[in-house]
Amino acid sequence: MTDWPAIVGRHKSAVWQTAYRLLGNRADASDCFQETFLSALDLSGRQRVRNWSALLMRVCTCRAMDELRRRHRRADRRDDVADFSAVASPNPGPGERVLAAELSERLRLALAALPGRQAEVFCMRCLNDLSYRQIASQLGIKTSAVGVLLHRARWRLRELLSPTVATEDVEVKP
Amino acid sequence: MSDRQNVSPEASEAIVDRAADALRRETVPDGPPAEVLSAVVAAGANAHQPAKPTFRERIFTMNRIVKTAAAVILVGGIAAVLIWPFDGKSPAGIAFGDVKRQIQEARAMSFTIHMNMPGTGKAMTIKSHYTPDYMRQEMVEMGVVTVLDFSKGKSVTLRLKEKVATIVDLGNMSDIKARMEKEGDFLTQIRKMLEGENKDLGEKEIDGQLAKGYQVTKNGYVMDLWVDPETAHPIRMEMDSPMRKGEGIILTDFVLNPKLDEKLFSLEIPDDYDIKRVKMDLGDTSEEDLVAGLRFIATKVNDGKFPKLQGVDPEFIQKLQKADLSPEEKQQFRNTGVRMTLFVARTSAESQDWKYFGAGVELGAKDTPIAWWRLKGADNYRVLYGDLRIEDVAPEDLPEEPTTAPKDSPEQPAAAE
Repeated sequence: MTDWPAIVGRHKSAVWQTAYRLLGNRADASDCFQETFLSALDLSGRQRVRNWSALLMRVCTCRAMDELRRRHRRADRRDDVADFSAVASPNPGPGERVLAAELSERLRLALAALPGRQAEVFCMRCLNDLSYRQIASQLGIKTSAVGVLLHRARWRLRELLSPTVATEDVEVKP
Repeated sequence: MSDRQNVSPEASEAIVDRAADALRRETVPDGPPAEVLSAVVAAGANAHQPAKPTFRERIFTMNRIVKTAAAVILVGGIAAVLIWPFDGKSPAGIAFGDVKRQIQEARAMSFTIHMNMPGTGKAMTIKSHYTPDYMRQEMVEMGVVTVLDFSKGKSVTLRLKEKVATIVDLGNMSDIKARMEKEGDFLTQIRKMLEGENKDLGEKEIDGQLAKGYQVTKNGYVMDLWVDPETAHPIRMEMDSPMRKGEGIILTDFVLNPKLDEKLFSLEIPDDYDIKRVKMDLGDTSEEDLVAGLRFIATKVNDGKFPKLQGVDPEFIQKLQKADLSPEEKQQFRNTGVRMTLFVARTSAESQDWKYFGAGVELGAKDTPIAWWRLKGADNYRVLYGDLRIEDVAPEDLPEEPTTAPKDSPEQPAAAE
């Protein structure tokens, strides 16, 4: 029989961290945390779960992406569309923490604009450090397909994140 | 040539890694909250058992989607299908998201503001109507009605007892309206406030009506929001923040997307009113307007101290009435005050880190920072001190942020928004 409290205890930190990182605030992360465990619990009543960690991380990522997309749509409705060039300063100065926070927020906005699978693969690979094989196994696709999805995700993210890159990253030589 | 065309593939590739790295390294606070964790554990304990009387309590804190899923898990599919359509209006049927969506998506809103004038304890009631094109406020006890027509760039204020109408030509109103919509007006502030963290306050009766409560916290503000548990329609908002310290503002009588008579927003003035016209120069504002406005208020109105910068402050209005300004000074106050407000609205919208902590600080306090901001794209902050000099300051050299407001002069965190 499933030892539910033990499963929650073992994975709560990882799920919380993933939810919070992707959503950036406690309220949404709390909702995502609950939805993740309850969805997984629901699934466990219908089929045997072999890898709780993988399942929870995948569900959490999907739920968080759903919320990011809702956030993005709400912003669209308010004519307050994500303006990536306005989010960050072209020359933000030495405040590394400020720059990092801006980059994080821009990435959240950009992820919301990606097709679901691409965003999911990107998060699994780049945020959760899963291998291509692990991702393929979890998504039920071939390893090569993971590579393609990841490549497309990175390409699109480059487009979305790059408007301010010019002055940040181009090395100016005397 | 666009910026993007200047970016090398390597640099553009690096930004993706840097962004992912930044997100991975972001500090995550301790969590999840204890109540969330216990709800999740409890759901597991009851997952495959028949429904129990405490079911509603357990799903109470869940959001809308999870409630549906949880109902299926906890009650069993058939029971949920039977109960849900008929029990859908139960107090557990709404979530904060429903409340937030209703308010945020409303194009127009009417409500009544109740507040007490600090110091006098006198009640003040302001009936308000906000639409995308107009705003109307009726200050009931004072007998003052103001209508603002954004498209015409004009406002009319009627003082009912004195039968005096003041027409204000605000010039380029579309620019002001855009800024107000983005950052400034009261309705926008409420909508933004709802993005804060929320917690469940349970239920209570308000004026004979059952209400469900949420406490929303954002940037130091706390707002209690009470809604109809069946429809999520707002019933009452109570705002009590460091800004008002026990002098809370209460909003009631909400109507979302009201059908309002056009006459309410008419700029026509009754025949028997004396008319005063005020024309304001609202061209490009600058730091000088902030300095001029603060200096005028501190020296002429506010006993040598800097004022609060946002919100309706009856205490300040009283001081203004007692200040015995000459007609020229009144005109000067209008101009400098409005230009200062516009500068603040623009700067706070265009800055990464606008903060004002001058309320109650004495004019001339040369070592006390009273505001700072850093415009997007700027390396340094502009720091305004109590002697009204402005200096360029590198981020690492910013003075310490005042943590406590001077006595009797509560701080204004809203200005930091």
